[in-house]
Amino acid sequence: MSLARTIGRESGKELLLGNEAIARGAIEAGVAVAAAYPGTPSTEIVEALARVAKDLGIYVEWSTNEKVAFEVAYAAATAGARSLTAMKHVGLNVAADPFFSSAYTGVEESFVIVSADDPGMWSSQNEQDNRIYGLHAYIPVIEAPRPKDLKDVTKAAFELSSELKHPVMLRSTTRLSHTRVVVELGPIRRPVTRGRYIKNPSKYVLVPAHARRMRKELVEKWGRIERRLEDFPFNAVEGEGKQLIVASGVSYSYVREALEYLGLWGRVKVLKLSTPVPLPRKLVLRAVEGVEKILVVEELEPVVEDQLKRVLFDEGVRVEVRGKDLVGYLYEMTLDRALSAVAKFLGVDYTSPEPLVTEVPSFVPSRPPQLCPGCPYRPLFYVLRRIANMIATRRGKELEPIFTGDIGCYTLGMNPPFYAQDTTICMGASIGFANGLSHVLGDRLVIAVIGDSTFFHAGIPPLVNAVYNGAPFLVVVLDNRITAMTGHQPHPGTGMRATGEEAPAIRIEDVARAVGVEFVEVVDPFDLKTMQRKIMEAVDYIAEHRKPAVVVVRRACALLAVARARAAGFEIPRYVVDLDKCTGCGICYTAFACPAISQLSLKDKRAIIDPELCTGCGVCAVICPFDAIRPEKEYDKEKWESFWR
Amino acid sequence: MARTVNIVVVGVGGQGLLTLSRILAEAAMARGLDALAAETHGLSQRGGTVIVHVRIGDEVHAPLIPLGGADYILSTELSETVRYLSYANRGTKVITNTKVILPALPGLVKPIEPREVLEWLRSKVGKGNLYTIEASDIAAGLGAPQSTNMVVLGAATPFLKDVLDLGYLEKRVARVGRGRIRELNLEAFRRGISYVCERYGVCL
Repeated sequence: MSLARTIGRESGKELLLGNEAIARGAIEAGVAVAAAYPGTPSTEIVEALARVAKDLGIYVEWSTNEKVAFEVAYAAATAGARSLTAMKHVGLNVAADPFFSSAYTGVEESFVIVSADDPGMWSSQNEQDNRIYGLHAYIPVIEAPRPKDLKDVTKAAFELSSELKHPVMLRSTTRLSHTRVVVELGPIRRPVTRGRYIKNPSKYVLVPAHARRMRKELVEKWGRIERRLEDFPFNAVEGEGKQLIVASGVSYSYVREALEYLGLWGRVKVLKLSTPVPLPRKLVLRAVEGVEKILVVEELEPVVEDQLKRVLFDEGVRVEVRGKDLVGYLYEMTLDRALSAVAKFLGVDYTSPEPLVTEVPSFVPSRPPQLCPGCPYRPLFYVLRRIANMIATRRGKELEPIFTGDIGCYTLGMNPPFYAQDTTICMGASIGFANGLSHVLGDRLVIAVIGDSTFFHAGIPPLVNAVYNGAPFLVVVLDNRITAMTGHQPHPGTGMRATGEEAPAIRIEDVARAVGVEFVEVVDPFDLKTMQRKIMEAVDYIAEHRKPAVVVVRRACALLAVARARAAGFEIPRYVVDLDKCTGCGICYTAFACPAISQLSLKDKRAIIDPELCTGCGVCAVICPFDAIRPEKEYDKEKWESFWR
Repeated sequence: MARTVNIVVVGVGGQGLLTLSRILAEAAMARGLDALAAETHGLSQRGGTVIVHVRIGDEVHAPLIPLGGADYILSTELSETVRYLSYANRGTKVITNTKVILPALPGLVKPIEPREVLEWLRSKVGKGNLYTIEASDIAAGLGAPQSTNMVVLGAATPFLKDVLDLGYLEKRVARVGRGRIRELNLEAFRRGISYVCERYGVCL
């Protein structure tokens, strides 16, 4: 990561990922505590801070979930330490409870909540505009108008929070967070890492008597906050004219390029808005002076548009306001979208560069993400599919097991040939859903599939619920030792903290036994026979006892194993197909579906392994019925195995 | 320079596209230019399709390149070149690896022949704008199949020499990976440069 290269430097330029720019902004603002649960597109903020935490002497942690992370950072800010928490948009749903309370109590020092939203749903289950949370909870929302503003906007968010003694939400989006950008480094404020707690229960104990008083104070404070944002440094009125375009957040960068493209930059008035919530009334009134019509350009919901219309109505300003009717609600902003809305609004024609083609020809294969070559989840799904087929054959298709899935790499188990995810709702819902289904589906088996990190995040309460309420279903916990989907962050079961030091490794099987699950087994997914036998034992146990059972499937993520091997200078073994033995049955590339294996050619169905993709897991050699797959050359099996623990 | 150079970098997750794009943006910064590289993370990295928008100029504001707005398409996989050809216009230069990686979706994906894909590309991309390179073969020949991305980066370098700091670029490529891989990456990068010079006459 590049952020490490900026430590100790207070000038010069560095190319940083948007999220690293946010981290750098927090460092320059003197952040002392940062806590988060990983989630795309927010992960790299706290990951970057964790890597430099020791150099800076600050405290950084991966928390078990967003609610805990929120409370860690919030608490630190009530004790006078500048703090940050970061999460993806749906993470704030998990942390919504303390989020609302934090506005009531306020804080003693900066508390910045980074919400990284995902317009376009590049890596999420929904499209959610968290600026609305700010409106709902009375927490101001700050956005960067361009990727290059991220660092300084973050710094300004810290200063604003410190001044107001109020939480501030910094809202980023995928394109801001995941764009690398040239950042100008600035001076670093020395972090105050030692807090001071001054007891003040009438402020921090939210019993109804206190809350009623604070609710009143909050509504009054909101007016002060709105006035304070009028001269927020990243708000500006640019250009002039009788037409006004209000551009919120990253939409500003597209509006600007659209106007430049049309040759109209400077000849149309633009309100660059980095404080969408609450909308600063006086700034708006200043911008609309002498204006005949207005276009609001923003991603997702009409948060600015609705507030703007209210301000104009209240002030008796009657001008035409366009917005969502021209810009649309769905997905992320693009230059095409901004250009089309701006041109229509201004009534100008334009020609855009003509794409060479407009459609993807049908021979281009769809390429959904898939489990990596060597992924320990693949042999599990291979076995689960076999078991499901077996049950469907023996007991009838209507009794084929239902797979309630969860959020992580294993969601990809929904794809052919495994079809082993029938539901994916939100973090932890695999076990929650299995509870409900198992009470209404009689003896049709429900199998909840959940990852290790997700289990710690939101899987434990529904497991307790299953034991308590006697719900009969199977929980398969895929323990690949790490939070894999988001890029390998440690979790409570890993045995390591965010900043690299050793930690107690909490064992999933111990948790399951401790809450009263009687059938708990741990299996190795590369030992397919034993894994299948143990899962079948669990299935029989559930049928007989009508209670939940847990099978922990444990083996390190293949990317982790390969990285460890490379770091140790160990040559990754590669497997090859013995074409004399291969019969072209295709099990390895159809039923097992390893992306590194394909058929030799259009006509020859025998298998070939791509050395560019093979990770040397060797499971294909185990499943090949004809013993036709072998390592390219001999290797130290024991050593190789040690990287997969 | 006045106009922003738009480079669409595409391929398959796991081929090292983020590294390639990041090095491009860094080399532009080293040249004193502004640069943005909008990446694809998360789910898309699991063998899925990857597109990175790299933009280089005096001042670049927005992260994404519009359809038809690419000056260059750099690709590490042939069918991905086709998938993202809507970013190209008549003047776009397309620099692409010739390898096809088939997704493992049994029953859903029909195998395709690289030759047929190339023919299709030739029918769409104007003569003189399509630059094919056997990047995977070159990397494999070096004993470094995972250095395919560096061959493609090398192949793109002569085209982009006016917006990149070439000295920085070479030093930066030599820092990718560890140990023997570093040397191989640098060699792969150099092979990419010499390939487009020898075959297409586009030289540093």
